Amino acid sequence: MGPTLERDPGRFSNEGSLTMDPEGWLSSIPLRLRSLFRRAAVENELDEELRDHLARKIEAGVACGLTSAEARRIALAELGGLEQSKEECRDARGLRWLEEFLQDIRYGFRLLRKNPGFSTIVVLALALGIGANTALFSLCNRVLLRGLPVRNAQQLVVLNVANERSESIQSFSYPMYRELRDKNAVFSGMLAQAGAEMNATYAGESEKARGELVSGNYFETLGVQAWGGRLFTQADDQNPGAHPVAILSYEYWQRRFGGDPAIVGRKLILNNHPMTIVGITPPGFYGTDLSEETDIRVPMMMATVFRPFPANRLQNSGHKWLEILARLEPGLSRSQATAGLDVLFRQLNENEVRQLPARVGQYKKRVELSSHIKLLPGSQGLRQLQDQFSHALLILFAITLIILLITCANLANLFLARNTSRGREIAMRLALGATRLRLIRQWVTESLLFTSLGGGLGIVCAIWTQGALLHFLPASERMNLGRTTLDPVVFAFAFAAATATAILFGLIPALQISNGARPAQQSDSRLARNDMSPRAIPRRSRAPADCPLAPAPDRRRTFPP
Amino acid sequence: MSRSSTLVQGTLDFLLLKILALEPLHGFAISRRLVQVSDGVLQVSDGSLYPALHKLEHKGWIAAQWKPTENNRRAKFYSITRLGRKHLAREAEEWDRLSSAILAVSQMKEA
Repeated sequence: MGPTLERDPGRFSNEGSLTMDPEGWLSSIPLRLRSLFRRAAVENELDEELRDHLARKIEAGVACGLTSAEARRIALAELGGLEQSKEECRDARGLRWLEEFLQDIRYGFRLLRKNPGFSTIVVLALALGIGANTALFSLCNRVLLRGLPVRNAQQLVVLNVANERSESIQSFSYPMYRELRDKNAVFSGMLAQAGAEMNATYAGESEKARGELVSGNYFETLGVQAWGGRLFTQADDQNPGAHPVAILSYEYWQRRFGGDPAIVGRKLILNNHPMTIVGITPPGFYGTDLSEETDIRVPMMMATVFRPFPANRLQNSGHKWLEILARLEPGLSRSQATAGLDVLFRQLNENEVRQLPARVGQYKKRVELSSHIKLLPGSQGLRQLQDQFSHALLILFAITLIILLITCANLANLFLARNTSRGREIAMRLALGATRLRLIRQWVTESLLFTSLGGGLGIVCAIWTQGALLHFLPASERMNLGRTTLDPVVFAFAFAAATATAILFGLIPALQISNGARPAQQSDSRLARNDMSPRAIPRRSRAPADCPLAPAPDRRRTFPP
Repeated sequence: MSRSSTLVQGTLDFLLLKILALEPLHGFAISRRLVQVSDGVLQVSDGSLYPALHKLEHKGWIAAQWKPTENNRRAKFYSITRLGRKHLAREAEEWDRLSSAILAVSQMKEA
């Protein structure tokens, strides 16, 4: 019985009854929303309810023989004052923090308007700092973070061969590709690709185009759907020279053919060979290399036409000219796949080495035999651009971050300086009963207000400067970046940067208030100066709110802490 | 909330729910009913009555509705909700357990 008794009163204590009943909380959401957005109506009702109570109480009192004034006094006393009672009812809504937050924002805006010069400088400094960071982050995001625009890019790997001389080669022969593709048990698909120079003639006009030979399973392995027409299948890649079909990229289709939907099925002369356009890839699909823009893709078997020398390119295991990407079987890790594939590769490689002509030296053969498969992460494709520029981009990004930190330091100084000029306001509000926590909250809200404005303007700056920033990369490498759009990740970054900035430069001045003595002394010196000025007397009589300030500094002077 | 010190915190919620479970009432009627039913033993100041009512309303245990009263006036009538009844049943059970335990202890002293 004992322990039960100890626990039970807890159920009736204040905390016990305050435990939130989730269902009740949900059902009262309309009520909360109403007290937020129909505040005037809710306040009127509160007033009416309490006045109705008073009226009834007074009536009852008069009925008992009291005078109406007496009845009124008693009724008010029992209510504990009309305004006090209202305050407690407002507390019951549980929205006080939100109301105070909105109040702080309104107050912050008033201060902002009061000091347009100060506000403009702060907002511009923040806009530049946050804007530069956002623009550069956007570029880093595009180049270093975002994956290929294909289905489940994180399942892709790039095949690589390493040997005992620590050389790393990304090229394979066609026979090797065919064997690896058909005999492996670790990939759901394996594609091969190779670049090809093309001369495209349509309606009598010729121009150079960037072409690519791709294996028949290229689009299936990447998981890309046709924008128009159809994409290649294995059936388009069976016999050498026998598949005169081509697929255009969306951008090339727009640029060269004005997005004409009737183009599918027409003939395009490529290197003097009539090829039928069968489909268009979706917008934004750039293949597997961010630094390459491909206009036209043709089946691998057309290598006899587009890369005619040597003629036995598709049969000779000595010509290594293909890049291979593969999609891991679901649930398989990269190291498991490497182990599985390497056994197969070593067998095939041994055969290839055995077929090497006799004139190839023993050393070269040993190096070749030491080759083994390495699988690189392929979520970003071939990463040529990334490998080349990641360091430069990161250094540049670090520099802009440092600039933002310097901005924070400068703004913190600016706001500390403003604190001294707001000393009277701080002292006044403390004297009127504001808690320090409440003041700190308001200070942080104000800096958040500044960074929101600065951040918003910063995003606009970032959009403007993005084009210019791209020129940091060589023209031949940035073709796929020209269409960069601001994505949600970039906005999230700008938001995070703004918040971090607000905390960095807003918290120090805010914390200075908790060390309340300093601002109070500042106001003290100002009061003293006012006393000596000829305006002192009218000022003091004009502003009774000054009075609560006077005793505090005086006391402090008499009894130093 | 010092004004409700004559009552155990949380007890007020229970009393209000119990009163409103019988019939919907407005604030002034509730305060009179409180005095009536407890024979004047339980004094709840008007100052703590209204915050308590608003708190219960925001918990979803009671709902309010403006209704006309005598002499062309209108008043805010509170009524108990389904959730409020569930909560009341739970609390009532706890009260019974607690009060019978205390009764048992006090009788044990006398014996």
